[in-house]
Amino acid sequence: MFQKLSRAVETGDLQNIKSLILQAVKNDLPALEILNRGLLPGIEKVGEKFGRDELFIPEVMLCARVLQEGIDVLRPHLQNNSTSAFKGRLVLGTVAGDIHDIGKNLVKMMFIANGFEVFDLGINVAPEKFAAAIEEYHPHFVGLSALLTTTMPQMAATIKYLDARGLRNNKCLIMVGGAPVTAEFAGSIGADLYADNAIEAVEQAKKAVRG
Amino acid sequence: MLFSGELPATRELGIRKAEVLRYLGYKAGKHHLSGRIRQILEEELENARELITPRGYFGILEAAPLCREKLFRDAEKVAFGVCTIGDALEKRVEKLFEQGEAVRGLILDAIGSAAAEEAAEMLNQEILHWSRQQRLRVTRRFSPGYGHWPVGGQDLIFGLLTEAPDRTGVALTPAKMMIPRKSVSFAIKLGRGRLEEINKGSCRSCALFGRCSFQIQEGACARKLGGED
Repeated sequence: MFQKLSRAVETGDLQNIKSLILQAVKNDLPALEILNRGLLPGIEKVGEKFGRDELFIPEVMLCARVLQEGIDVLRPHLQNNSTSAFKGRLVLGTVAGDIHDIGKNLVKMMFIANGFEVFDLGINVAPEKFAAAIEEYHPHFVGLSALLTTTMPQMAATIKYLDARGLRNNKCLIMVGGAPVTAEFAGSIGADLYADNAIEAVEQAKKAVRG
Repeated sequence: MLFSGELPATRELGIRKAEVLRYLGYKAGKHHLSGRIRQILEEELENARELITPRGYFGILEAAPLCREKLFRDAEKVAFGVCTIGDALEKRVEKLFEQGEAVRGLILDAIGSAAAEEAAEMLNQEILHWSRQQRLRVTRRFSPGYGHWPVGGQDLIFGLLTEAPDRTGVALTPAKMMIPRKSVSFAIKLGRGRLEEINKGSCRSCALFGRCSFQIQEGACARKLGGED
C-alpha cells in the first residue's frame, strides 16, 4: 500500500490518490505512516528525478498537487495524532518594490505539499511587514523572493531591518531566491539559505530542520 | 514625434508553443513533455484567447535631444514602444493559484509572457516597416531592466511617449515596473550609419548568461522547442 501511495505521488496520479488514502485509512494504517512511508517518499523521488533533469517544474508541480490532495484527505486523521504533521513554519513574500509572484507561489505550494505551514505575505512586502509576521507567527524560515536585479537590494535591506530588531536568531533562518539571485549574492547579504528553485528550497529547509 | 502607431486590440497574437515551453523552463531535446502537461497547455492556450487583449503604442523621435544618453549617441532616430496583453490573464492566473491549480496557473502565466513578447514583436514589425520605407538601419529592440539598460530607462520611455498610458492602459509603479505585469516597453535605434547593438546577442550579453533557466540555447533556438508550431 505504501508503495502504491508513493507511486501515485511520483506519477502525478490525481485521480486515484483520494481512494488510495481512504483505502489505507480503512485498512487501519496510521495516518502518520501513510504520510511518512507513502506520500513523502513519492515526492522525494520526484525531487530526485528533477535533480537528474528527468522531470521539469510543471511535472513536479503536478506531483506536488497530488501530494497536496493526499495531505488534505489525510489531514482529519492526522489531527488525531499527538505528533504535529508540520515540519516547520515558513513566512514568505516578494520583497518591497517587486510585484512578481509566480516563483513565490511555486515555493509556497511545494512547502505546503511537503508538510510545512506557510504564511504568504504576498507581493511588494515591506521589511516592517516581514518583521510583524515573524513576531506573530514565529516561523522557522523566512523566504524572500525577488525577480529583478533592481529589487534584489531590498532583500539586503529586509535582512538588515530584521537583524537590527533582533528578529533573526537560530530559530528563524532567512532563505532567498528568485531568477537573478545567486548563492554568492545570498552569502553577501547574510542570508542563511539560498535555493535555485522551489524544489531545492524545500530540500534546504528539510535539511535545516533535520539539523 | 516623427511617426506613431498603435497595435489594434483586435489583432490576434500568434502565440508560439515553443516560446511558452521555454518560459516554463523546458529545453529542446532534453525534456519530454508529459501527456497531462501537454493537455493542460492546449486547454490553457485555448482559454487564453479570451483573456488576452493586446494594446500597443509606439512613437519615433529624432535622437538629437537624447544625445546625452550614452545608449543613443549613434542613433539618428529612436523608436519607443509600450505594449501589453491587458490584466485579465494575470487575474485568472492569480485565481488559479488561489484555487490550488498551480500547474494551470504556471502554464497560463507562461502563455501570457509569450503573448506579451509577441505583442512587442508585432509593434517591432510596424517600426521595421516604417524604417524600411525611410531606408534606415535598425537595432534589435532593447528594454529597461534588461542587459545594459537600467530599469530607470522606463522614465525616459514613459516621459517621451506621454500618450502611452492612455493608449495602452500601462502604468508605472514607483519601482518602475509596469502594470499590467504582462507588458513590454522597449527602444530601437534607427540611423543610416553603423548602429551599436545594446544587447549584442539575445542572451550572451546578459549578466545571467550561463545560469538562466529561460536561456535560448546555443544551436537550438527556443523557436524550435517542441517542434509543433
